[in-house]
Amino acid sequence: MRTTRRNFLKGVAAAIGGAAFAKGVIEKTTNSAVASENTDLTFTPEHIDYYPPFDKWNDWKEPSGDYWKKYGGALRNGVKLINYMIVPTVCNNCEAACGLTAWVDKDELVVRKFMGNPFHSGSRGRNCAKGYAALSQMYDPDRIPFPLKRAPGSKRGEGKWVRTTWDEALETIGKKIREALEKGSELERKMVMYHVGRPNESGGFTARVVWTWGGDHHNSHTNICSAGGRLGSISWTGDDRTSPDFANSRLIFLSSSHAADAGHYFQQHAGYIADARAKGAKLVVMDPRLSNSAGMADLWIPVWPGTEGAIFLALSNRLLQEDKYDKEFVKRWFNWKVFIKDKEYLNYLKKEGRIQEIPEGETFEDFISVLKQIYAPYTFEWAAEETKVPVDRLEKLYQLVLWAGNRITSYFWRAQAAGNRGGWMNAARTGLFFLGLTGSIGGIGGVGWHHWHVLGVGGKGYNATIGKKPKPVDDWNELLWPPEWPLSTYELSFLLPHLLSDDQWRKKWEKRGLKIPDRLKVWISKIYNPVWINPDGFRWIEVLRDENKMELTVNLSPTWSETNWFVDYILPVGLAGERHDNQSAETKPERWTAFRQPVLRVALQKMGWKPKVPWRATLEAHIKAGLGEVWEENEFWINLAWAIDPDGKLGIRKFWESKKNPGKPVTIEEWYDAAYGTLPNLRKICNKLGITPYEYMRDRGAWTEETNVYNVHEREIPYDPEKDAYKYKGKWIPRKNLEIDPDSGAVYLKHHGADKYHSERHTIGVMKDGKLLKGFHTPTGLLEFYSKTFVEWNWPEYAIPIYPKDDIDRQKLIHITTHVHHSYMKEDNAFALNPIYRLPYNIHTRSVNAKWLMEISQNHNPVWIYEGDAKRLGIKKGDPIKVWVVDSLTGIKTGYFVGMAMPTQATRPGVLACSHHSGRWRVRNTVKIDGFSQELTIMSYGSALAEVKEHQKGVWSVRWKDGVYRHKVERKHNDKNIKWPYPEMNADIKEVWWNGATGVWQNAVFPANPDPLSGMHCWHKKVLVEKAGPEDRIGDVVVDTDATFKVYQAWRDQLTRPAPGPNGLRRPKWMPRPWYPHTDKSYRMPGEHE
Amino acid sequence: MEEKMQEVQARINMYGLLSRLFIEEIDVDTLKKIKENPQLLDLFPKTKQWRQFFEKGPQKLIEEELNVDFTTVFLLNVYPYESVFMNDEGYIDPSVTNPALIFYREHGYSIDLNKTRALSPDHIAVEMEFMMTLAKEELDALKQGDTEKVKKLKEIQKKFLEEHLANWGVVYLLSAKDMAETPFYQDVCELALEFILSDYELLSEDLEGVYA
Repeated sequence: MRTTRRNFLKGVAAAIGGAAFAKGVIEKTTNSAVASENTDLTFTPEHIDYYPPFDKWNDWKEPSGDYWKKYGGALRNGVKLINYMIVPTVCNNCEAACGLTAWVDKDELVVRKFMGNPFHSGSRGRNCAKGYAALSQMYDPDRIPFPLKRAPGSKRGEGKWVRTTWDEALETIGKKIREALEKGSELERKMVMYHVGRPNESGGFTARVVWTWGGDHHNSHTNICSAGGRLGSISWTGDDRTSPDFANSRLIFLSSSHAADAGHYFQQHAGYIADARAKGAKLVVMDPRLSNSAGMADLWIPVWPGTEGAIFLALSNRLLQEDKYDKEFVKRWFNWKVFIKDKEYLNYLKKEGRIQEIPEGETFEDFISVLKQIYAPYTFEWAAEETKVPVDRLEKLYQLVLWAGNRITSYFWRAQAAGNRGGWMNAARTGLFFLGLTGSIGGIGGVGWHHWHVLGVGGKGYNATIGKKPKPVDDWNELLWPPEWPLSTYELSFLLPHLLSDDQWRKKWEKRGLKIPDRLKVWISKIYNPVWINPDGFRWIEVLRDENKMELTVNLSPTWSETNWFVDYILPVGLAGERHDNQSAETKPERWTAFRQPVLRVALQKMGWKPKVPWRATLEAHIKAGLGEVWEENEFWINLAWAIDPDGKLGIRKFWESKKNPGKPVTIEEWYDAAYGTLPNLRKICNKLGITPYEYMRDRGAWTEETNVYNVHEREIPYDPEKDAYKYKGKWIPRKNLEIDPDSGAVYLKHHGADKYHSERHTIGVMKDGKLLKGFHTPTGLLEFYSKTFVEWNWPEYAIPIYPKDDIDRQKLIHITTHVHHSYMKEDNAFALNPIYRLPYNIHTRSVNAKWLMEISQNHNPVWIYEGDAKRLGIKKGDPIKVWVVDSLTGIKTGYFVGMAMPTQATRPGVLACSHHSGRWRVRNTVKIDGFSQELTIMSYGSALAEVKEHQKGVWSVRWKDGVYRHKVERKHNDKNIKWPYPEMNADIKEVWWNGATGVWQNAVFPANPDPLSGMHCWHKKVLVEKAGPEDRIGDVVVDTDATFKVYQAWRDQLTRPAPGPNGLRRPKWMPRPWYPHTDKSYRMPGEHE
Repeated sequence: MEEKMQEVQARINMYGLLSRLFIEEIDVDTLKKIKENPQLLDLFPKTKQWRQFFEKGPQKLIEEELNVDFTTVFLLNVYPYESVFMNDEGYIDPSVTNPALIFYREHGYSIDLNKTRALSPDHIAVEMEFMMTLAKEELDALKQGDTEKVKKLKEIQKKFLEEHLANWGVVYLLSAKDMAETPFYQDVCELALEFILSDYELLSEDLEGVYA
């Protein structure tokens, strides 16, 4: 039969009637929302993923909810339909950048609802509560309807405000920046600082803005967020975070994260996790708290905070000892040869007692034999003792690991990485070792990398302007990057007030030739609330109030905030549907990119309206639609560049001058058309459709440039034999300018010292079998199990993944021992406090302006305490408890807060939990503005009215005086251009049944605890708990800022190992500064390099 | 191209027919189709020599011979489930961690077992129907001239044979053939065995050749 089979197949093709025999048990599944192809109105869609057909988006009719109620159905006679235009935008409430569509009522010029965007392949038409709440934020009666300026003659924090104009603000700020820049001195340049909270933009539009100013101006929020997550990943791969392929994973191993219910990239990640579980994947959550994710997981690992690394290393050890690691992957991609050849380092390990024998050979097997020695002490029994997790759970976990093979995903970003000293080691540095051993890196169902998937082009619109590329920045601003943290990832932003107040520190470094300013001339921040969200908030208040330290302060902020109360200008910029940003996120193995845009401007322009001044179109549109004098940042920055450099003498203006209309500022349409036009596949489709890239993004809101992006490290770098050059980042690099490292195969740019020091290298790829592959962005081009960079920076003990085994080790390796380790909990009432987890509907300082979100978050944020602990301390449900914050390094008590106790089994013994995403406060209910006939209200629905007192210098207290402010929406004013406070959109405004804010302002009591390597603020705290006294009230906060300052100094002076590194480097060159390029000179401390 | 399409159509037909024969007892209609079509009957060489096959009426043949054999082999003795053959414990594994199910889902398919008597998605007939479904998609892609998609579907089919159907099916079919007493079910097992192996060869050749 075999030989004639093909013929017989032909025979049966005709003979049997197709597939009719089969039972039809197999069905095709789909998870994506798709814009419907039906062209008719559909009020009863068959699927919940139904969406109106795209060709009807400009004119779509639907009855409002009221009509449904009244008449009970669609298309009945007499039912009035709303004329909608559906305009896409992007949510701005977290970092995930899910697609939104605004349903603009064309007759009334208001947005009636925000829905998902089916063209957004990351969010697939779905949103979480925060996305839909964009509407209540847009028409929040507390929003700021015009620019505000501190009243002349008043002090910061007095709460006296006058209404000003955008023109006046641009003029004043522009002039002040110009004065600092035109002097041409490094010190003056450093006195101009831009400071961003969560940027929610990709591709660096605003980074380019400050880059064109010429100095080192860009501060960020990274080190209160993710510095710990980043350093661990960077040390392995040069990329700062994994991009897990959750949807195709078999084992989703959430490590002190709760992406399935609220964490980072929530909604998109949660959806992919759910998809994977529907396909049979297992979910394991390692978290001291029974989060909602842990509650629905297959296995909960209630680990002691900051000991997660012990579990990663114990798993790694088992895989190694049982030879169950992915040999092929490890051999191909770990930099094992560099390690096994470094006898000096092996001898160091031997001296330290990490290994007993150094193998004579240098083979892969020898490498494995050393690993087996290093990790042998990390047994499951030891890990169970160290992490306080029963050993049988670790065994179960290990079985799942074996079952899942190379399809394991994890994400190292927040709690363990952000909560603990050494979080970077404890999370990604050890976690990626484990993932690497299983081979779960790069492929389907494993983890890819941020830069493989994220697709930002926001800063790339320069083909639309006269100036193209600014010069690399020649300054190194020590207020951003103090020498103590050379490996920090990234700016030590939360230390700004400390650095500005620390004369001793500044003088010490000035003696070494550094130029450090003692004040800022301009501090301009964007959607940032450091007073409330950063640690040591009173220190921020002290410095913000001081006009000698901060000369002009500006916050671009759509809402009131604690910080705004202390600045000179509050400039109301737009929310999700009122601003321009390009944003992308690595939420899946795809490269999607999305466009946040002011939906009212877009709708108006599509309906034929034209702005008087095209580069101020958004401001004009918002005034026209009655939203208020609310602008948006892109246009603001472009106009500011012209205000700083009106005649072009400073060389700034040209970067924001239109190529199409020389002498005029570039418009948004020109800029983003050029920016999105850099995407080749988007360009192709646009050519086919006969539209511009800007139009494509304006109309659809999102674009997916590439799908199934896996194993990018295996991709070949193009080589041209004629040029004898490799193509790297769009440029041909001649082979003669490159060198190759024989041990790793790394190919790097020739540069002095690059052959000697890994810290000097700029590696472009790695040779494998005669081909130059992309590899990883490390000095060796490989996954760096062994990071020689750490040896070069005097941290040899942390050059490989490691974890302290016992008390002696903890003393030696104090830099990576969590400051809330259980061995520090000596008092009966000592606990580790976990403050950094999200509530699904609250996010840092971005949700208090949504009444809907505040309503559903009432009483959701008490202090969780294990019920056995509560019983032991005599604490009952609802009791006020006083929580003292004690620094475990110095023993200093910095103050206390009073919270409400909630005894529960959902947090492990010894660990308290209280999210720092709530506990907002205001000092006034309203402010009176001269020239406006009504008072503006402040954070009515989600903050407490607080009495903030400075009792003596450095001793502060807060007491809640009242809760929610119930105001009437009927307020009338005389300004005909402003519909504020949008009574039509706030019909439910009086339905406020709750009183009192939820949570307590914990952040104020936390001293700044900068991690000695990553620079991360280590959020977890050692606390002592006692029952509150008769005088104490929930919400009370008492802090001594002298004490918090001493703690900061101790962490800095006792734990860091400052720059310079080799060749006078301030930082390894392969870990470049973010935002904009710096000169080689700026990377080196004065007078210290060869 | 026409020839290629015919070949894929034939594969669809074969998987469809085999899936039908394994999923439950044969019915009169199907039996008649085999009996009355000489080309089809050629695939059952022992049956062609089996006197009773032609002498007994279809209903009688089914009740007295074929169903007895089907029950003995497939329901009582040699369970046609991958998990039984591949797991040490020898249980049917209907859970969400069933590797065949994971394969279906990871490639975008779900299973509605209510349409059959199968207890678990790794039943040999379900796996055959899965191959049939993939081949149908391949045919569609061929018609649209989407070579990339054809290749991708061939890769998935080959992978599925490697990891599942051809991996355990061969051993299973040999055992079932041993146990079968009627020439008909011996032929069914033999046919399935040969076809699966040949199909694997065909996919491999295509992927190494035309679609490399």
